[in-house]
Amino acid sequence: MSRLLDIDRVRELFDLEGSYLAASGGSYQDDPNPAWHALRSEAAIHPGTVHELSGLSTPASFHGLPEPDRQHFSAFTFAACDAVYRDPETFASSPDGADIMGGEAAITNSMLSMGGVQHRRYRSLVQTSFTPAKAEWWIRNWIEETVDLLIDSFASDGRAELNVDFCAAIPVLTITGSFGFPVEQALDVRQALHTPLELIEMLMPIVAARREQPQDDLISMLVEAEITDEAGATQRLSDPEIYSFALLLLAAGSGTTWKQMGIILNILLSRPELLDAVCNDRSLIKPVIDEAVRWLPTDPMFSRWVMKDVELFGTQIPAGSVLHLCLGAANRDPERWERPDEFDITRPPKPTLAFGGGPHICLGMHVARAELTVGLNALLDRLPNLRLDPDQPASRFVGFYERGSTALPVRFG
Amino acid sequence: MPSASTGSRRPSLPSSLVPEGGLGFRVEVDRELCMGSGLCTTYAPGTFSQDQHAKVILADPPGDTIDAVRTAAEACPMSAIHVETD
Repeated sequence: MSRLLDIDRVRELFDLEGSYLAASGGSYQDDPNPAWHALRSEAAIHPGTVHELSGLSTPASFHGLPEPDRQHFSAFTFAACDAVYRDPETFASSPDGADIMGGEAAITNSMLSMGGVQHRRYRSLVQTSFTPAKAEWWIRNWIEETVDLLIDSFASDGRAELNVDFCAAIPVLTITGSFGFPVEQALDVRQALHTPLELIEMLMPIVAARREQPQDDLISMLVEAEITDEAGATQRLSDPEIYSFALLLLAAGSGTTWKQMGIILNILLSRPELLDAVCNDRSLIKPVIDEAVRWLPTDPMFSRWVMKDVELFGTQIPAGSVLHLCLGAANRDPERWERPDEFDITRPPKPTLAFGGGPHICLGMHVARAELTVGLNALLDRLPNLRLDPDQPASRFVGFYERGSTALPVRFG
Repeated sequence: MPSASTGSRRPSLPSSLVPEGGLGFRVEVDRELCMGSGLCTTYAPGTFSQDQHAKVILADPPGDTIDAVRTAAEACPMSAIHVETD
């Protein structure tokens, strides 16, 4: 059977419980929501980190962590998290900004850590490639073909494992494809996210080739993009600026949608009546995605650095602190959603914090939705009578700061 | 290729829309503040679209219910959409 990717290597790189992702709480097996409900009902803001307040004693590394020399606070209500996102001058996405020309290459030394006007200038360069209207471009160029080839690889088997063999492969192949990497290099790129200089070496020949001859892809857009400085002068992006965008977008684009798609398939496969209803009425895919990112967002926490002394929902927070926004808790705030623990696709449309908020709101959210929608539709089109494999262990939700599903063994036909 | 600043220098589109008979509400958008997230177009596609710089364009008159427009306003990460009832 022809495989697009070395599946054993995919399994190693995309195992939430394995060593590669252990630092973000991969060994966590429980449901954090009871603890988050209790914390939220006590106060909007608590001193401490989300994982410690939730009963985890092992150290964790994620956005805003560990930062051992700072005070830590965590927000658990929707209103508090939303207010923080809407005040980026007080609550910055990084303690010291970005230094792309002088600093070392890193995923965080990018637009992610910028503020104010500088962030606006950089973000607007890529924003036009990530609008809802641009989703068709992503689908036509990368998503559709990737999804079809992946399903081809197991469609005649009558069984498959969808979490890794399907969900993990779609976003990594989409984002690496948009940067001009051939399929054979996709996993090298994913692995090299931990060693940015190696990744930049892999990008160099592509950037050079696109300078010679631009193509209809994201890396060509970056190579040709012009940025206007404070004085109004316009110039092409420098190599360090291009690599900075590339590191951030390759990292952000190759993992999150995998986990969210595994979560959605887990939800649907464990509710056969809902899966049947969605199969017969594809307009339900959108409310399924909306409700799934509310009910179980794969990244349930992001952090902000507090730039000045502030009182927030009754809590004094000194300048220099890190404030962790528990988006998973905000998305189940009973002040905002009735029966928040129920998975209910008939809720009226209401914005959640699944993709964050404020000026740093997830750039790729509409591409993620396109990947999820095309992926789900294709599975339902091509794998009749899709169901969990009764002979395999049930799939579970695992991970703390990166939540997702364990293996999703299915049968069909 | 869009530059970072051209979008905000374009003239603003009409931002106050009350057709005869009245919709019962008015919508205003701040195109300077708009960052082009596109979320408004997903909640109220009959009222909001995006130009080539991803900046919001307001339909005249708004083509959605006040509930949908309010949801779009709430979803805007920059708080750049305001809805007022008459």
